[in-house]
Amino acid sequence: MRAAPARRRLSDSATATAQRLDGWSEARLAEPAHSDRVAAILGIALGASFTVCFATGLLSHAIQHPPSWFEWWPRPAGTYRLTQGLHVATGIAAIPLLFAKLWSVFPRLFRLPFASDVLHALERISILPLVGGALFMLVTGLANIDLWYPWPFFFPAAHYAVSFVVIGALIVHIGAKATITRSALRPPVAEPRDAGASRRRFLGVAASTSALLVLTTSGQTLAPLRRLALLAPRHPDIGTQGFPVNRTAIEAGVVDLATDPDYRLSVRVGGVEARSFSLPELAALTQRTAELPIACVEGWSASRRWTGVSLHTLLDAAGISGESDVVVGSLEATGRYRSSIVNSRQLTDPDTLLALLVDGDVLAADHGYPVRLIAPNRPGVLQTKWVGTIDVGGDR
Amino acid sequence: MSDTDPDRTRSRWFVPGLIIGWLVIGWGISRAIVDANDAKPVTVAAFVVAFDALHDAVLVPLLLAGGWLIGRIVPGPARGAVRAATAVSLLVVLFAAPLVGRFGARPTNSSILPLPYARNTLIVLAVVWVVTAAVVVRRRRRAATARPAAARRTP
Repeated sequence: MRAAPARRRLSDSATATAQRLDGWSEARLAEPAHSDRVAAILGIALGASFTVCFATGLLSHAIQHPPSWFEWWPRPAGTYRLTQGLHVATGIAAIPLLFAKLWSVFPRLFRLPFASDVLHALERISILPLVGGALFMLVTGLANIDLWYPWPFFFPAAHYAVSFVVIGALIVHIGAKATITRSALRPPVAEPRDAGASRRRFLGVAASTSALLVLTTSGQTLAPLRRLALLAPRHPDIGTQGFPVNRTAIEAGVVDLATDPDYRLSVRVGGVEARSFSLPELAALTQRTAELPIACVEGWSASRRWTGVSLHTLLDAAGISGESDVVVGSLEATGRYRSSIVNSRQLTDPDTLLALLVDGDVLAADHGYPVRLIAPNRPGVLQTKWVGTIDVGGDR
Repeated sequence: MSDTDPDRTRSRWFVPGLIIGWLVIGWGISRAIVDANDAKPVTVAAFVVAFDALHDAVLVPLLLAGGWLIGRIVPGPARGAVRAATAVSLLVVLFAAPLVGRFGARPTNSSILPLPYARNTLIVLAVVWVVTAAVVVRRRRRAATARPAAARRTP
């Protein structure tokens, strides 16, 4: 009789609390902001924005880590600037939408029973990676563009892996909500007079907040919005020589090597030097000028006029031809981005330059003096600065 | 009907969605494990759970409490607008916090966080409240003109 009175009281009060939460949830679900219709509309908006983010994000990843079958094109030269600008802007727009959606659906968290069967349980469990993962993507994405990294993992790797987790959870979610979404989008019948207005107000606030955040940040890549970019972490016209720097010469540890009067650009075949060029020798080769953007993975971009030697002109001068791809290496000794690959499509493009000047001025140390790679349609991290070596074929 | 009712939730996409979705989730987890040195899967998983918990256990109660408080302080007609403007303001402040706090700034690089963000955030907040006030005023005017017309219609 006395067996487990305390345990029973605990489970009784837990059950009572759960039931009270369930009743409270049911009452809140009757309010317009928590209606199926609002949840459906916000869900579609989020599905669309996360799909755009995922597609543009995968592209950015593929350009930096190309699978064997993928060769990125150098033209149109502004494509990456557009896709990455879209990636960041869409991610920012998704922030208010996600919080509005979470507010709209949170009473459902407490509905009983938790699951009617195993399949239903699998669907409800997927909400954890869906919500936690979506918040992870947007919060770490935002911190990244603000250059703030309060975590021990490497942002690109974590952001890439979790993107699949979120998309997978989204697929489960869409499969589970297809029916209810379709019925929620039909014209509502027999509802209180103010319900429609109330729903529209809630959605209007969410949409306006998305627009507000996008308008105050997108000027970091979109020229017409420049003056509105109050909350942009970078400004395309502010920095050394009038445009932003990510890694400075001091941070890269290249100041001495870059300013060395005996600097020579070494062209190597199979690891063995074939020819080297001093700065005057590079300047003596046929120069070419091209207007090209620096398009950062963080969503900002700045376009400038660059003057230098076409990479294929340099290889011709070194007596090398017909290469499939080339590795451009920096004077920077260590670091993930100290070298980059130029594929055959980019190699044949005459605007793939080893630049010596920007807007007619000698490159500043922070922008890659004495020589930097600048090529069309290339993410900023691959526009290698302080070029010291060009490796062709064989052992790199 | 609650949305735990299976008749309401099961379309022909339900099971395919479950299978494909969980496979893609598995793929994502595998990407993190394969790249474990960089992706640190256990830490990342902890972050994912923590973000979920922070939202459900901290942010939502905070919003509920704030909404209730506004209900006590603000007169009826303006309540909804004030709740909305407050929520938007909170989001703007959180969004701008790393900018105003200059968490990512580096002394060697002045092109990082180059704008006066405290001032700019105040400007954005001012815009939010001015627009909210304008919407409230316009709604009251519409209600005021509608009332005499409705009074005329009643017998």
